[in-house]
Amino acid sequence: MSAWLSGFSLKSNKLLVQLVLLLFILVLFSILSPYFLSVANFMNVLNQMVEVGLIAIPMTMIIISGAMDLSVGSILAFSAVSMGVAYQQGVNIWVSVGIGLLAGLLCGAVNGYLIARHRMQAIVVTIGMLVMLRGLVYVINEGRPISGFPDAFYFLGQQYIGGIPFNAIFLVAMFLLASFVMKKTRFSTYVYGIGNNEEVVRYSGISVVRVRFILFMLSGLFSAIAGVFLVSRLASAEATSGTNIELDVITATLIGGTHIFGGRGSLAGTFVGLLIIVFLRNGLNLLGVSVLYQAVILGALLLLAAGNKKFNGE
Amino acid sequence: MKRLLNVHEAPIIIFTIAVFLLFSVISPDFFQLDNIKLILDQNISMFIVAIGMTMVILLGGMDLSVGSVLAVTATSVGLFLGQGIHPWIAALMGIGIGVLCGMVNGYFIAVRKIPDIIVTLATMYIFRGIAVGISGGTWMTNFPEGFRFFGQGQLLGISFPLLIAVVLIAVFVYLLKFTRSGRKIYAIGGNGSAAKLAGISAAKSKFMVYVLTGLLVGIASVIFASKVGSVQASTAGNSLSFEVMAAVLIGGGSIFGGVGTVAGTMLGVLFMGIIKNGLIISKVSPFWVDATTGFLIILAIVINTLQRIRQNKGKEGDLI
Amino acid sequence: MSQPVLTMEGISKEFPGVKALSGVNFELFPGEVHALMGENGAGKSTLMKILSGVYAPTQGTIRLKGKETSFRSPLDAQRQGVSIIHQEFNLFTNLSAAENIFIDRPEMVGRFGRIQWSKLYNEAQRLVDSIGGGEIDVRREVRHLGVHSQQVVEIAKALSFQADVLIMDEPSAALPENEVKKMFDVVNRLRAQGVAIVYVSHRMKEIFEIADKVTVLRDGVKIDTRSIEDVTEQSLIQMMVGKEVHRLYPVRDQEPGEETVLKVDRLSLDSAHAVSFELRKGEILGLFGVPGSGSHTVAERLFGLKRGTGDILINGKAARINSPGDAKARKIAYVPPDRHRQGIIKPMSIRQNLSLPMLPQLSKGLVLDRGRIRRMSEEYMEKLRIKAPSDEQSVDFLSGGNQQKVVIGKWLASKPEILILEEPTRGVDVGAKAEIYNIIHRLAREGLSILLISSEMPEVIGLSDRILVLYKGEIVHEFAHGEADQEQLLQRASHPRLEGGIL
Repeated sequence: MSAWLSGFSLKSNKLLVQLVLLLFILVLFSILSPYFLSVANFMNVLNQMVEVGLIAIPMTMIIISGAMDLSVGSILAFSAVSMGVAYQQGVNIWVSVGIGLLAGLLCGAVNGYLIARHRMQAIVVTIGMLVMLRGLVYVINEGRPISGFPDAFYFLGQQYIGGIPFNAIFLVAMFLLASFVMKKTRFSTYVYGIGNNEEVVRYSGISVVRVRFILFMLSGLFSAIAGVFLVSRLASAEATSGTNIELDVITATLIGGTHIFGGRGSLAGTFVGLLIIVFLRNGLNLLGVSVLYQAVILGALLLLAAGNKKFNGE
Repeated sequence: MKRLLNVHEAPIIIFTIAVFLLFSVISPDFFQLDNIKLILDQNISMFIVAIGMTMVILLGGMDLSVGSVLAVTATSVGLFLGQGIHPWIAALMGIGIGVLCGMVNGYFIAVRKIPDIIVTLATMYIFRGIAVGISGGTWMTNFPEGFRFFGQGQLLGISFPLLIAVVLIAVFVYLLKFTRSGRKIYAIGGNGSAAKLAGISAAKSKFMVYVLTGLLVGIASVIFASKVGSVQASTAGNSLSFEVMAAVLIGGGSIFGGVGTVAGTMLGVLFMGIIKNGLIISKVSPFWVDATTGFLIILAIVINTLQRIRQNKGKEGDLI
Repeated sequence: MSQPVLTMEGISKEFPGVKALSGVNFELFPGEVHALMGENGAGKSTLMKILSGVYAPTQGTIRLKGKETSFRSPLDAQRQGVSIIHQEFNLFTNLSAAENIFIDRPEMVGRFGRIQWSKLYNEAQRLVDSIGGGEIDVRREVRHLGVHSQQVVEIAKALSFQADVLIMDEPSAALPENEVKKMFDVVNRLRAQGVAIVYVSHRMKEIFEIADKVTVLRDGVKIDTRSIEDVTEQSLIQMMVGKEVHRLYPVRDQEPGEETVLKVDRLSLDSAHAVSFELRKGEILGLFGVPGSGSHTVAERLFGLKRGTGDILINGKAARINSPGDAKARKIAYVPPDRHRQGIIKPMSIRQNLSLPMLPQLSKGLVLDRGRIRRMSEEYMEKLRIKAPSDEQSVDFLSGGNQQKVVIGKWLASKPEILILEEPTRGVDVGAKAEIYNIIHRLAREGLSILLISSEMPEVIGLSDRILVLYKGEIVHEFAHGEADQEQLLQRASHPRLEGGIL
């Protein structure tokens, strides 16, 4: 790896704890459930982790920059439903997808405007958006799921290429692309810089407002893309889509070594964190543990990751 | 008159009256004594929980878990009743569970110093999950006669829950206005470093506030369970924390901490209750309620931020 | 002859690598206003911090009313009767004045733990009235009060602890002109009540008007304590300034160019004050002023950190500078005074810090050009002689001087035309200072126009071609090359514009 960031311990290149935890989970569930260690199961897991994974990409960057976006789940639903309604109105499916993505970008722009430009508190603004958008979603689709999409559309979420789900391939491609940005462009230096010392970055003539704005727009966009993939996978756009997804996203990010106060973290770490979460859920599913009990475990993991030096300190 | 307008709660009072009049005009069914009683009655739990949230926000913090605490407490009470425990004992035990939840929050926030958003986000899921777990996935229903008193009974001709709410409001107004502990909360939220210099321990106050919030949610959930008669662990109190937070902010609380009153928050709850009721009576889609809540939260923050900017501009130009 | 209320004997304070105070003796009598003077770095603030309970002295004793004591914390000092009024107040703006004075006091609590509000308000009003703040309504929230009134509240707070000693740190700094008199009234009332006041200020006029005695510190040592009648401004300045320091400064061997690179016309510093001046090519223009003079605000305005009115012309063309990005684009660079908070990003490497402002130029399209960055970093490491094993090391481990060089270096890389240096050698050891001075000289020789804002007199005098003196937001004097000496400089900076010559 290049020398640009090798002395830069902010990247938390040592993912030892996380990898051990992942291994532990894999081994544990292999023992506990006969169905766990199979290609079919693994592919299933890959197929289902896409939405959380996509959103975790900009979330990692936002948290590194010292902020947070809690509205992602609602943006996902808003985009999904916007797309669905557009399609129902007779718009071409791919244009509808475009509309959905635009909707997500718009939400991200609103977040960015209030938070970056007007310096309002990210937590509360995104909570407000979370509630408002969710409400709007119900208003738009009147609580009724939208389905009946064309087969070509289902390709995104349900098609396998060479035995691997297409959406997982897309996710990995996105991770690679984002990693490239976070390792090789000045944008990433700005993001880490802002998370460590926003003043200095500002005093260096860089527009902190612009960087933050872009981050929230990315969050909106990726939430929208996740929404599109979700609809494609489940063949239905529902008002409840994406509810509580922020738990998985934030937990994956923090477990992966991103520091809650910002300034440290990596996408590689988030990816490992993502794997930990999805395999954990999968294993619990196979053991018949209810989804809500799973949330307990995830919540506990979140507390652990946020409070424990091993995860976010060196 | 000008003095009256300068009262901090003036905006919310005006808004509340305005909305009240608006819906009275729009729908004749609105301006009925029964309906007004209904508004109060339906929001008792929210009044009580909002007392706690007021204190949390005054400190400059946040509690996303109150809805889940309500769920786990109400579910527990249902379980206890199902085991044949006397209603009053069951209620007290339930409240105890609320306090316990508050202590969990308080521990991670005040002692381990993990940011309150993360802690209460995590406990929001943890408590909800526990609630569902202990409910076994079924609804809690068939509460004994004796239990109905909490939510539906009357004492001296006045609704019991309303009485409880009034008593609690009085207690906490007193706490915040007339005790050192209460004033410390305002100090910490107003200027954390000055508070530290004055020897005030933020950790102790934070812990206390989260525990008290747990207590209040416990009480609110007993009333809720008793009033509604059945509890579904997975959905009870689902958007409670957001609605209560909106009420605090609309009622004049500042997201930055240090500003806000119980009275203002109560008005905020009333305001939102009127809007909800009004929208339903006007036959507007109930889905608009959530959207409106979220919009009001954002509006409140915008106003908060503008107020703060205006305050800072007012300072003497500091020449350095 | 009354007994001293406070005696400090042989006070020394050492930090790793620096001795801030050596064997200082200080005596304070009840009802006296005792001025504490000295240049930046003389030790005033360290002495104040020891007195107010922030630091413990490394050596020496403190006696309060004859009894030896120590302060474990600022709160402890307050309780023992020593209070300090900082330049930036520590008030709860969301609470009433009365509550600020009596926050969290057991004495105000009656039966059942109930706060006795009427008692609290009455007591607070009484305290405030006793120092002439009768027009303040103590029930009103502090955020509604003007600066002077807020100061009165802070003083009343000190009185509520029965302060025998009150330290006032630059009390007139935040006050508008017309309120300084009110502040003097307050001080006089305190004096009448027997409170002893340590009055720390740079403003000569005020010292002579209000103080009984004056103590001068220099380089961590007490020079003398005298009655105010026994000193003149000249003698005070001489005490503060001492002998001319060894020649750290390179000899200026080149005249600045003819062309005006920067012209500033009625540049507003706040709503009531504005400055106008010019900077020529290759010139080192010194800007000197005591804290509160507005020198920092000039930098903020020129670098787009603060908005205001007025014209900025660069090479004759009007420039709109509303953000640091604008300034950077106009080839203005700024080395800020607080490198820890504004200059360097601690966990990042030297290389990353050096390249930060110029990343767009050091990239090939969207991708960072590692090679160019490495070369640029090595170039400036060498040019500025930044001492470190490698440029990939974190800046956190560098000495103050080297850290400062990194900040300078990152801006030099932007090839600016105008360089604003504010307190360039604050917290830097002598060796690095000399190196930085050489760098500054070399840059000026190469044609860079430099605005040097500094509160260190020898530095300003030694480096500048011309010196502009600021006082409370206005340029009150201009020294041509070689005209200024420390005494004149300090004198000009301690007064509003003087008609005619020196008093």
